[in-house]
Amino acid sequence: MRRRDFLLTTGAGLIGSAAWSEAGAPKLLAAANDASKRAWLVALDQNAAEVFRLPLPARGHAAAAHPHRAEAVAFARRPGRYGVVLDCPAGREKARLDLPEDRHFFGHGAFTADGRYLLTTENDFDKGEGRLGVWDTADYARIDDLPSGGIGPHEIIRLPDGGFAVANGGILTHPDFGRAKLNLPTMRPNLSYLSADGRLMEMVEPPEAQRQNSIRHIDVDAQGRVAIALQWQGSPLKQVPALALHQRGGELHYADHPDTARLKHYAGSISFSPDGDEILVTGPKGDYLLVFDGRTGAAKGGLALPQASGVAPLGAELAVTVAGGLVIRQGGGFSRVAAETGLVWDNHLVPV
Amino acid sequence: MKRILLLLTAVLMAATASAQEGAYSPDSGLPYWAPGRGEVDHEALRRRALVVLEREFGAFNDATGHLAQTAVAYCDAGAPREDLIAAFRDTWLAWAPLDSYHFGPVEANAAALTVNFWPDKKGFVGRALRELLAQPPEAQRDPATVAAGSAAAQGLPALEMLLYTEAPECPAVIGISAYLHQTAETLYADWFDPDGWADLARAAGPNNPVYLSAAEFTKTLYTALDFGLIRIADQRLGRPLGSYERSYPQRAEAWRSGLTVDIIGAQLDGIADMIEHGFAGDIREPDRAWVLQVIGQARSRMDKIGAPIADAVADPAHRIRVEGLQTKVNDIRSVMAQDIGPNLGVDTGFSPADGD
Repeated sequence: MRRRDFLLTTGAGLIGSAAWSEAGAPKLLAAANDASKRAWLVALDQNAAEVFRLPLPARGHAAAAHPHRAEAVAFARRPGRYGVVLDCPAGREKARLDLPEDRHFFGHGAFTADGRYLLTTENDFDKGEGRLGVWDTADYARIDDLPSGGIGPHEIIRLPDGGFAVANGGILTHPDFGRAKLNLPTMRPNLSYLSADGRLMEMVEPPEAQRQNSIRHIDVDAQGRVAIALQWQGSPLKQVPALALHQRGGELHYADHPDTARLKHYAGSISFSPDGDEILVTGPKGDYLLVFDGRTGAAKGGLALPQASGVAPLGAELAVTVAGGLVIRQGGGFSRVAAETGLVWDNHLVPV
Repeated sequence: MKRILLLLTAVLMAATASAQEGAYSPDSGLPYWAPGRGEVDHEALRRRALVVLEREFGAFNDATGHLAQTAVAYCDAGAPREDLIAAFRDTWLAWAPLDSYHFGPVEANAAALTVNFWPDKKGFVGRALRELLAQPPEAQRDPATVAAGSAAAQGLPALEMLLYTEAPECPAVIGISAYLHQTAETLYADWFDPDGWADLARAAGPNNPVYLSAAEFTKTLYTALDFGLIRIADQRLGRPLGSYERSYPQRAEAWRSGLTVDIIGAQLDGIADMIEHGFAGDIREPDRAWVLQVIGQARSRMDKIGAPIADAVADPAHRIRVEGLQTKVNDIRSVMAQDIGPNLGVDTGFSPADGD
């Protein structure tokens, strides 16, 4: 009877597994495609230099790094169904997440703080419900699944207190319709908070005027404040914010930026800077990056960056994947790190 | 009849001849550009494609309008039931080509589900229809009641269940048909009214919130046709075919009315229409002719199935023909990907700008 064990057990098991240092001490992971359209999970070190790349079965989306063991789980892009567990030092696939037939992944997942469990955002598509799969990382068997608190759960992140935040995008999709969005007039996104054992603790919904602004990608600062990158699904002629901030117990705070239109209604990834002073929001459709003040949400400028996709902390700075390499945000400026040409980054950059 | 055909042929030949003599016409996309010209006039293509779309969305609007009137005439004035059945059939076949164009107004109005709630794996249509039929008669005939209810009882599958089961047709058929017509009017208006989606596509450019160039609209159309072909192969044929061990006749779309195969034919015709009259001369002649020929082959395989899809999948002798049609539809996809996509210069490869 392993089901629900998740709700009861604590403590970590680190039996005979390699630590990240044995895999070249990567700091970042990203899915990417090469010139011949093969998909890879690429790991970068503290200098944003590639330390390894491992093949993926098909186009990836985001990934999750185990907190202690040198294992990464890479997810298919929706409505893809693969979730591969990669043993990074060995450079091989360790396990594959066996998803029930009537589910697909949304491309994101998060480990519990002790590393015992992995939570994945999933679509129970025939019922039109968002679910969170729970996997035991001892052997990556599926042991449970929980309500996500809404339709279309996309990114899930672990919070400083060990709980989780889930961005329920609100958009109904079904693999029979490919990637088509099926409920835009009635969509209701929300941000849900879960306790460390997966219970739904709080949920916040946007006001009516922002109801079609999908809550999709999220990050959290050291104080537990959540920043949300939004994707507008209403009339393309309207101009709406690309960023919202939220503190437990409060309302959503929407943050305007004079360059929001440059994102073409599509905020890709989001990250606080390690010191919490800034928030970066990428716009891969608009080839643009927005910078916000991390505490007030005030606009702090922007930068045209072709294919600005993933963003994540790297040391004391922030790294952004762009066409042909990375850009590092440091001291209020930007510097560029070239990567091997021919590699095209996918949407996200994940910290190890 | 033969004379008319001959005459038509003569007219066509004359038209072709005059196009060949004259300079390149962006409206017709003629004469077809020579292999190696290597450029596509995306603005001309867009102009022609919008004509095709306006005709098809207009036909759906007209068909639903006629259906709504016929429903009233049938329930209130004793008009023949055949008229209602015919109007229902015409409406579904007018929707079939639009199933491919799931973007813009169709997506914004969630019309894919409200017009055609299918596949319905959990029996939502029956449940939603029972809820509608539990309302007082005056409420059932009011499209506002239908609008306030489930999407599963707002469109064609709900109408089909009304017309092809023991359910009481009147007056619910009036309410659903009227609501379906409202949906069709909204789709047409959102596409073609001033400042509608067509104008948005016409205004493609660096500051456009959706289409940064005319080529992006071409890409959207190309992707839409591919989506339509996937819907035919994987859903319309794949679902009833099931596996070799087991077929699922009642998973066929519109199995009650037996319209399954006609819907597939109408969707294929719509795809051919866009290629022939929308893409037209902006794809090379041999490629265009070839893909249309393969679509024609699919159509003739379809005509040779010789039984409704729901029956055919369960019978080994007929099943092979349904599988043959599915294979041919997948062939169309390959030909599109090999010849038409690269020909149009639309990059459907990997890009982080695809979003998620």
